[in-house]
Amino acid sequence: MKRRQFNQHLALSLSALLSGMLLPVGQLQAKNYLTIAQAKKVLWPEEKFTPVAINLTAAQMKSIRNRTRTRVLNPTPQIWRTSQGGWFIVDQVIGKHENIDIAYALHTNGEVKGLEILTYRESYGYEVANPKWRAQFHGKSVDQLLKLDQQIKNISGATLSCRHITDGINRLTQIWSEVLRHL
Amino acid sequence: MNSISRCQPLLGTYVEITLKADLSEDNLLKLSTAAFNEIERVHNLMSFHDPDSELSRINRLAYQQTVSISADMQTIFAKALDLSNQSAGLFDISIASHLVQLGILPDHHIRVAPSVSWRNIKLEAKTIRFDKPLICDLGGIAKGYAVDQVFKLFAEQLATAGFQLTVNAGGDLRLSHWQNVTIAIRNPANASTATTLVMQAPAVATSANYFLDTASDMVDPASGELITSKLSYSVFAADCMLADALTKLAFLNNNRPTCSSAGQPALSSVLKPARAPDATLVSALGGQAFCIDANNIISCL
Repeated sequence: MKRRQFNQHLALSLSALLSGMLLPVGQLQAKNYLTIAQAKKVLWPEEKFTPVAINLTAAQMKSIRNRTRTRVLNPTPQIWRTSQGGWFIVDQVIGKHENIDIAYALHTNGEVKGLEILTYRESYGYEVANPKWRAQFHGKSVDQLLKLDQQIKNISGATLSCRHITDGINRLTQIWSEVLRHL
Repeated sequence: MNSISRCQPLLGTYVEITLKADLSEDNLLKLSTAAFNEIERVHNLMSFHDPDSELSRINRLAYQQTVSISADMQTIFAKALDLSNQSAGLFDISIASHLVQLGILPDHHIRVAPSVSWRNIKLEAKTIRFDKPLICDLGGIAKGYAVDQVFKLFAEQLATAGFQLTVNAGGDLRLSHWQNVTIAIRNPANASTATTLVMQAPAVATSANYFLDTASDMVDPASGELITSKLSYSVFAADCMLADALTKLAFLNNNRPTCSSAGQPALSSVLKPARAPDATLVSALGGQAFCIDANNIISCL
């Protein structure tokens, strides 16, 4: 490396180094993306929505768990029916490192039309398996959980797999198959 | 100014797009949908997992016949082969069969010759052919390419003042307004904590093993062995495809006992200046590499 190039390199690196303060990303780094209203607009433009209250029975929850090999966390998922007969469902998916709220759009025939991640929370270790820890998020804004410096919005790191999303899709299509299609 | 931030599962990870502009919320939602459609298009071309992707078609057919390829594939293969050439084969997309054997990539039952390398990939204008049976994986470069494509899609808007774009594909990150922006880089020993760096270029990517179920997903092309480093490597570059690819070079080059003259990079609180050949490789190719250890100590490679 030429001397001048090296000096430039060093100067840049020093400025980067000096900024290297320690930062807790989490226990919880949390991000809000679209609101439910925005997600409705993206997934079902021009449609009207009617809320549908369902309460999964223990037998239904067991059946869904057995068929999809995913735990049913919430017996009362938030569900809307669109004016054309499609579905809009908000549910939670828990991965090894993440806990996310997802809005799904299902066609009348149960086929997935699309999905939108509404909230992403980092989660590590035992907290995820603890129902009390999970319950604290239900219906709450995540803003107060954000511990990361407000100025720092972007994180680079190793790639986190999104394969747990599939669990959520499988569970939702099974809920459609067992409950929604009969409504 | 309105802003919108959305997240979709694509490219095997969580892709986050943030748009900020003097536009209505509806327009921002439409633009963000166009951006995700572009990423999904790249995903569908370059997925190793999907047997119907263009990459899978190339992997199945390119040994038997000359295969016509899309402009996207032309660009990404040209860049990959260029990096292979300049790194003496340290960056090599033909390592896919090792990843299949290790169970990291799915097995599509394509026959592969025992000793293959990037040199067996013959790229011509608009066509590709393999002169030995081999398979390629674009996992080390395609995410960065997809991020760059969103910037290309919005080239016109980005030329106007006030239009701000951020794309983060599982840690492969590019910002339109990157000057003086501080980002967090996860600690490789405790990924829920981070250290900070100031952006040195529009794009940055990071390679490390902490989110994997397996010990590693990085293979040394020479030995076919997994590299299980506990360190994290980040590279800043002018575009995200380059940053993405160069993190693999920084990672491999500094964890390869036969290649690094001084062995493992010496990590200390004192800045270690560049050492040949480790540092010059990444910087000669247009990147600036940093290594972060378990104590959040940053060394510049």
